Amino acid sequence: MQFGNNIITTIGLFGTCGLMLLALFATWPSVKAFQKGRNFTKWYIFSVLLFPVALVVSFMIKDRRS
Amino acid sequence: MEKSKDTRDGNANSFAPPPLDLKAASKLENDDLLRALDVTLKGNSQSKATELQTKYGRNVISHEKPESTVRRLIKAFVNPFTMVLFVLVVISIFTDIIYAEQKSFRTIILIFSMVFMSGMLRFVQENRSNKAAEKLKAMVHTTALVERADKGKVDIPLSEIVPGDIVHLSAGDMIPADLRFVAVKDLFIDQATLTGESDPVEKYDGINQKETKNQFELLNIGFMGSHVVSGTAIGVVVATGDRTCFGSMAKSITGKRGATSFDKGINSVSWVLVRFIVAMVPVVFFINGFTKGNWLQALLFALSVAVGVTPEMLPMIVTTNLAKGAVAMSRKKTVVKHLDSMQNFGAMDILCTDKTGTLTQNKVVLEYHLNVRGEEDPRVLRHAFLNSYYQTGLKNLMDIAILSHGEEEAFKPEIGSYTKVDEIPFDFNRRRMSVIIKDTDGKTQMITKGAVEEMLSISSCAEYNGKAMELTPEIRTEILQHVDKLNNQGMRVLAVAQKNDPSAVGEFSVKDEVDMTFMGYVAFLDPPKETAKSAIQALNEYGISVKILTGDNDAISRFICNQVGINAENLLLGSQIDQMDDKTLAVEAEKVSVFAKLAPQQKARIVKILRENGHVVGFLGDGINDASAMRESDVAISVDTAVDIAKESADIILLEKDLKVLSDGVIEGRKTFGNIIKYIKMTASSNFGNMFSVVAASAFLPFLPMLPIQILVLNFIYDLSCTSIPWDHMDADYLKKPRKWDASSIGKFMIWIGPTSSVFDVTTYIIMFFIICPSVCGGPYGSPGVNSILFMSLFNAGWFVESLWSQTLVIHMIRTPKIPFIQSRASFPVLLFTTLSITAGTIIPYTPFGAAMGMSGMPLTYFPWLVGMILCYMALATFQKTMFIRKYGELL
Repeated sequence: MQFGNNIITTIGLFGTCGLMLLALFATWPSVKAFQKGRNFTKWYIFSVLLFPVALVVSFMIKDRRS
Repeated sequence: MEKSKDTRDGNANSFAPPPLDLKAASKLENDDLLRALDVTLKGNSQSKATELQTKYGRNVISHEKPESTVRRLIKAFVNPFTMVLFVLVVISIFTDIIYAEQKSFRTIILIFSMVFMSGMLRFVQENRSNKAAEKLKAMVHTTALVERADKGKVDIPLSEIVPGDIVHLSAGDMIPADLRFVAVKDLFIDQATLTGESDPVEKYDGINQKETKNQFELLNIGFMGSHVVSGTAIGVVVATGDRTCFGSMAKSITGKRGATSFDKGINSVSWVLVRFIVAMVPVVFFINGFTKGNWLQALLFALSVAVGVTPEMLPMIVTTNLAKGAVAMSRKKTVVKHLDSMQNFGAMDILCTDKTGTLTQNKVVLEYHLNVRGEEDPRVLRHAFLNSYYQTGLKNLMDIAILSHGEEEAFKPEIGSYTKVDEIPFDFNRRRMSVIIKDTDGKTQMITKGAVEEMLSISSCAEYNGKAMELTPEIRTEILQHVDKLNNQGMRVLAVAQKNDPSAVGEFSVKDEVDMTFMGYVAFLDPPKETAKSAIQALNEYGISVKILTGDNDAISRFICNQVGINAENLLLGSQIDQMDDKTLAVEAEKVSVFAKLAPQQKARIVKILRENGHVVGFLGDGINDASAMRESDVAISVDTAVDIAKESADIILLEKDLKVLSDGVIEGRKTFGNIIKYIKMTASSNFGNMFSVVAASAFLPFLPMLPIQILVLNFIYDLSCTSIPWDHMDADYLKKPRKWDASSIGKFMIWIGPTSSVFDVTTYIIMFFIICPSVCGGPYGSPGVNSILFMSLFNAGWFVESLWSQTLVIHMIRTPKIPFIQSRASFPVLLFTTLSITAGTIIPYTPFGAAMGMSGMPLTYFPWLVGMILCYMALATFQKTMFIRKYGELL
């Protein structure tokens, strides 16, 4: 990879790509939690902010619907 | 009403005005009226009718005539896509010809070729769809019974009616032109189409004495577009086609049709995208203007992006889908009259239908003719025969069965001993009809035939062994017991009564139907269809519950329904429904599958309640008593043999009254809807994703990620591949559930799936900007000695190819919730078109065409990256699809 002096381009493109991937993968814990009877929107925000934690917790929480 | 197909029909002024105006016609005595129209009650001869048609034109309304070919051609070329291309042409004229050192016409030729191809594609597809729709409409004929001096009574298409024609009308008939009644019998007309008045208006045949400014108050005039609710009439046509009141009002009448849920849904999707475009274009314009400094190029880029995300092919794809679906349905004996009703057809989850002909064979056979003691009695059959023979209204299957049985019994010669004096037509409140005949001795006799309960209510005596006796409660009970027994065997029963010397000639009316002598009853068998049970099961499997709404009584309805596997345990009667408020009925209607002894307004009420309960309700009917329920339904279905008003009210016409035909049609409707929603969702999500990519590129790249012309070519290739979508098939699982239009699901889909492709657009920027372009150009962008023109053209080509691959592959990703290519494969046309698009798009940068657009061929090292990105894209899209399905339950 050759970055040269294109700092803004480098930060901007990598940052955008990372944020987009995070936004997409954040649906995983939030959908998992939703299936266990939790609020999807709250969990989505939690997942975007703390994805690894949210992912682990979403697998551990109990299913409220059962 | 038929709409004209050629311009000559459409121009009312090119024909002579009607010989009389309606007000003048209403004030004339019958003889004067006929004289003024130069006709007798025997009607026009065929040759004169032809002459009159040349003079007055065909009886068609020209208001909704199809647009001319030239107009459609112009419309095909005038859209945002071509407008932006024209702007590009103008700019290219300056940059490539006027101010260029070396003149080049390549870009201009290229742009014109694209304008021509896209316009012609649109024109040809829409033309084919319109032609298909016209052909389908022509498959359903509505005719009128007219007198021809040289042929007698003949059924002719409504378009051939001319002024002076003598028209015979009975219950259920559409009034084919504006006409003056010369003879009527208890005639009630529904003029709601013209006046909005829901109550039928009684019409007369005398001179109109009353002065009125409102011509719809002329009680001896029948207006085109209205229909006969009950009674019979003979009318003489005064005005036809555009000269009728309906013709002059056609614009306002046709304009009243509100947007369907389908229209609203399409509009809402378009508006969501338009809002995005309006918000994004200025952002893209200003970011590029400020960061790159070239404001003209920034404007063109913003405009091209706007065109790229405009679903300009949406109307064409929707129309092609609907037309293609309608043609496929016509092969399965289902004619779609209103194309947009196909969506409701596929969404239908309750089918209300009558029993006769749907569950039963519609081959009514007269089994018994019994007297009050339940013994065979030829007198009963003879009276039933005389009643059926002399009635001039609509002859139903039971009349036909009586006539055929009577002829076997050699009753026909007896006809010569009687002359018909009058008749009182059938209506659904009385549920009976009477004829009055006179024998050779001058004795008049009224013979009435109708539903048993109604007949008992007007009878005071019963006849047994030729003697009349009082109709005691015991005899009444005995009759009802016999009738119940027959009903329990699945037989329909009509009672026959007679009365000697009713009112004087000319004064007969419904009030004569009292104190009659009950003679006996005739019982008919209409056995259940062999296919009915399996067809109902098939409908149930496709998520459609069948509810029977019949005017027949409970015993016979229960018998037939049990035979075909419909639960008739909680059967509800019309009288019980009347006692329920809407809230109670809303609960009961969900539980009950069979409703018996229903009047027309009760059928309509049940349909309305079911719709209010959130169901998409279809109503299959063929009689005048079904018209109001059909109007109330989401999708009105009728059969080719139905009465005019039922066919006129229908959205869909079955060429065979069979539930099997219907279930085939439903599946085709769902396929069509599936393909439409597929295109809408993939276009909305892909465009939404592209917006992210463009904004990111505008903000962080030092040059445009793609040139305006490249965006337009990419958009054009993608649109071409989408034209194959109407030929795609749907997964079997998708077809098993009714599919309702849900605009909100499109928005959700767009937000969830759209950004998936953006991730790989941005990844492409990274790979092109930091790896591929520097390796070819000898260093990072902006470094000394690096050819920035080559850098940009390579970058543009790289994103062009990746964007085309991901946009085209999204068709395969989104068309199914399964794993594409492995678990579910698209149809051959889709595979072919998408493969060709990808191949063409990948080759373009290496051609002079690509060079003309400012692209350079990528090195081979680009392709492993591309393949890797596409595989990751497909994996991420599958992941996101799975998340979406887990959250919302379904993909499409």
